[in-house]
Amino acid sequence: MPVQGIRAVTNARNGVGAFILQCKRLDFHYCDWAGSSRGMVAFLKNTLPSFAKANPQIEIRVSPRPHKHPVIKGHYINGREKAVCVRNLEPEQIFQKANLLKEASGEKLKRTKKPITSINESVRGIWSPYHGDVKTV
Amino acid sequence: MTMKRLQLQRWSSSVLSPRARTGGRLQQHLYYNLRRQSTISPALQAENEPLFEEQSLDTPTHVPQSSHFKYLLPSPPVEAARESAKLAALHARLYLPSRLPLETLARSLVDASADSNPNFNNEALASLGHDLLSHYTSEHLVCTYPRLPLTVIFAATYAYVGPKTLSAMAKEWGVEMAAVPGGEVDPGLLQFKRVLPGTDVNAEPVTGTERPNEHRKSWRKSMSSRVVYDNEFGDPVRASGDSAAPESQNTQGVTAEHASATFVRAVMGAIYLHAGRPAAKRFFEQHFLSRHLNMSDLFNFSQPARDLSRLCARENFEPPVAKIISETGRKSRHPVFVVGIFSGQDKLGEGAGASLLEARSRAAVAALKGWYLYSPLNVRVPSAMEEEGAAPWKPVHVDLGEVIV
Amino acid sequence: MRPSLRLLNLEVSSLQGSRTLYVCSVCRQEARPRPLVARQFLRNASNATPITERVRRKIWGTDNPPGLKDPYGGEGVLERKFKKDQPARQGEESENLDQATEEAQAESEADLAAAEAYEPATSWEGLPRVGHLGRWSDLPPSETDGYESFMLKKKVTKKGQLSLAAHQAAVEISLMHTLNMPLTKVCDVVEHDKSVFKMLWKCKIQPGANGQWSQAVVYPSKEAEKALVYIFEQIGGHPEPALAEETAEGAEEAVEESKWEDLVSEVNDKNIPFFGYADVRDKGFLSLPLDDPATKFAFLKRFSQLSGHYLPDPVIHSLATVGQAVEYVHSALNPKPKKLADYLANSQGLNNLPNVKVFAKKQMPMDRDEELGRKKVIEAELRSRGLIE
Repeated sequence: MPVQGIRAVTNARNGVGAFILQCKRLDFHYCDWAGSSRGMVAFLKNTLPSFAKANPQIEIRVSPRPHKHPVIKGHYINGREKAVCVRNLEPEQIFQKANLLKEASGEKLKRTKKPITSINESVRGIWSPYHGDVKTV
Repeated sequence: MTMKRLQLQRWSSSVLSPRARTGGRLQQHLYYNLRRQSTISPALQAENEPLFEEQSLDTPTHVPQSSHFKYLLPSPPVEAARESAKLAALHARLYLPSRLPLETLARSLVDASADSNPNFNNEALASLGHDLLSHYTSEHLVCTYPRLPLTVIFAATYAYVGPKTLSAMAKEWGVEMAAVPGGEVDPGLLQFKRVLPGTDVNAEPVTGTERPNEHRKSWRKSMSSRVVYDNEFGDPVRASGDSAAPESQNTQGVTAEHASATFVRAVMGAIYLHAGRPAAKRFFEQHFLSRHLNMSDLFNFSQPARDLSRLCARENFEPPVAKIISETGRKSRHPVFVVGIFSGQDKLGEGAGASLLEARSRAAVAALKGWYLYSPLNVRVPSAMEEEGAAPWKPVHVDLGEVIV
Repeated sequence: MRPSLRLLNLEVSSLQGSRTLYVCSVCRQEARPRPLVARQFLRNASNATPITERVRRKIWGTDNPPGLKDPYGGEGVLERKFKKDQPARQGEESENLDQATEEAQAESEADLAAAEAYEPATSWEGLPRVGHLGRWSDLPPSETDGYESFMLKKKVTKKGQLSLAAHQAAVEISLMHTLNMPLTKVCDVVEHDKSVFKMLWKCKIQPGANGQWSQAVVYPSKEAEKALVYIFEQIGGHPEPALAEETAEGAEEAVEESKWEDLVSEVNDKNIPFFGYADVRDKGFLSLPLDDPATKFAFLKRFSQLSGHYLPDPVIHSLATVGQAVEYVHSALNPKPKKLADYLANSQGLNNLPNVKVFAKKQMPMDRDEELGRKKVIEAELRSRGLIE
């Protein structure tokens, strides 16, 4: 057989065809009694319906957690979790935190040094010393 | 080529129509009688009703909704699909058409190993989706790369819609798996019966194929016979009439990879059935074709120089000649030779290597890849003709394929 | 090295006499001999001389220090005052006694003599009783002691019964309007007889175009109208309940038995409000206006008497119809849910969204197990090992 095929797996390019939001689930925990949950309760009452409607691709779970500070917990497609404690925050601040979790990729935060990362080959190619005009010393 | 003729209409009707259950224990039988599948369209149900006495016997009584009852079901009840937030989120995350109901999405998440009832598992949807996927992939590959060798087409098809890719996609879609299938499980989870830990899934080779003289292990399998007898990935498959395979799967369970791949195929089939062909095609382009595959990495040449000379002979080119373009450090520890392969005045390929032979074979590989990876501009696939008001079909160029040595 | 050395010093094996290989630090602390301070306290507790005395002895250096025995107080202010008062009062008494005859002196003599022959009692028998016999709580209740509340004893909570109260009040006020009687007189009879109530219940109210109360009542029959007019003339003039009841009994025979009677449970128990009637027959009274302040006051007075609910002044001001009054009391009875889960479960905005799930209880690992289908396997394993039932 002159040529064999090598089995491979295609790589996902999220956003090239379809975009899959990386945040798949948000858990909202609150306490009915404690004062640190006051903003959270107001958020759940007033802001959550519009937030959930704007993000139908996120599964949203609301459950009480008595005698604890209010927490938003994000679950991501890469299997990681991110939790933000929102004690004593105002509903607007909690909305910002929820947005933060929604837009996160789930990866650990790291500094990006290169402006662009790509899996495509460079168009220009790698410089070769053996091609082009030969420079003589 | 690998494009097999599809009779989608016939298969889709088999998916939609209720099928009488075969076998099963009496207790299960009673429960199944009470279960209803929402995917069945009422018209079809009425049409098929006289055929199956099971359907006509049970009167529409209320289904008991106790938690105890749920534990007896092999997969979540149809009504639970509306309650599951996970399922709705998955529906929205994949931008599935609104005509595809949540109940069908829930059904596509139930593997045959979890629920053996074909009215409630994704087997039929998956077989439809599998054929659609391989159809779209193979026509895309053949039209885009008309000179690809057959083995590379097999590999590329495997890379686009093979089980590994499909399970990776299911993971990237955020589909979680249930630990054990059952009626109380969230319908947004992938349900399948897992194989026991330590089981070797590839222990025994596939038997029961349609290939004659199957037991002769030492006989060579020609490329042409693989097109006829094997599947679109070049793997041996069981004959369609052989029913031993599903039985063993139902008892032993399936791997997570297999279940995930079946789910993705079932989603494809469900989109085709509920939203139609254009939506299915759009889904394929957005989720499958958009993935990155470096086609030139799929080649594995054993004797590229020989292949190239055969190719030149076949195509009536002048015989290829390897020439050194430049070199450095011939006597040093790290010499570099840049060799080009020329056919007459035309340079077919060029390669650099640490030895002359290596550089020559690299150059031959580059020349062969340059030939095989030819891709015409403005590719149109045959399925583009299915749309209304499509431009008249112009035949695409499909080459002879690889050289025969 | 230091902590381990310290621990070695506190080794208790010698104390316990047993050769334990390892003793935890808590036990070691427990087994240590009591510190000196604690022993001193113990000894002080059993000692007779108080600490102040011992301090004084220490300061003076002798066992009999000079000065007060108790240098830290002695007699308190109250004590001193009490002591001062005692002889003064005795003096007063003696002055009074001076004006009395000498019998008293003789008596005191006798007392002194008796004191010599004093014999302490061993039981209460024969001892004179000290204290007031005829206190007010021991007196029989007088006429003025009785209290009858203005309102019903039990508050009405169901919506149907609230409507019944409002309907009855509306019919009565309308009747008084028709008879040109003082409106608030209806409150004199807290609870009518059952037959009278039934007639009132059968009356319908059709509010006119200009919202007149006087022409609003539609009577079920002529006899009922006559009876009701007679009763309320009596109530308006001078309260005479006995007569009213007699006439009502006469009228009851005239009233034909309607199908509504089947709904009414025949309970003679007086505790059941509105004789077991559950709801009103027509809803016409709800749109009666409360424009006239006198009518409004009379209606609300009667309504609160029948229903047992007060209406605050700001609310009274905003009420425009009878229906609003009923609605207000009903909403005050059923306040909004306090728990957020209840609120979210009822909120329309979240219920319509398929991707939102609201849990009323804290989610435990067990819930996750059930969701993943793992719970039944775990339970089966535990059961097979006999760890759970």
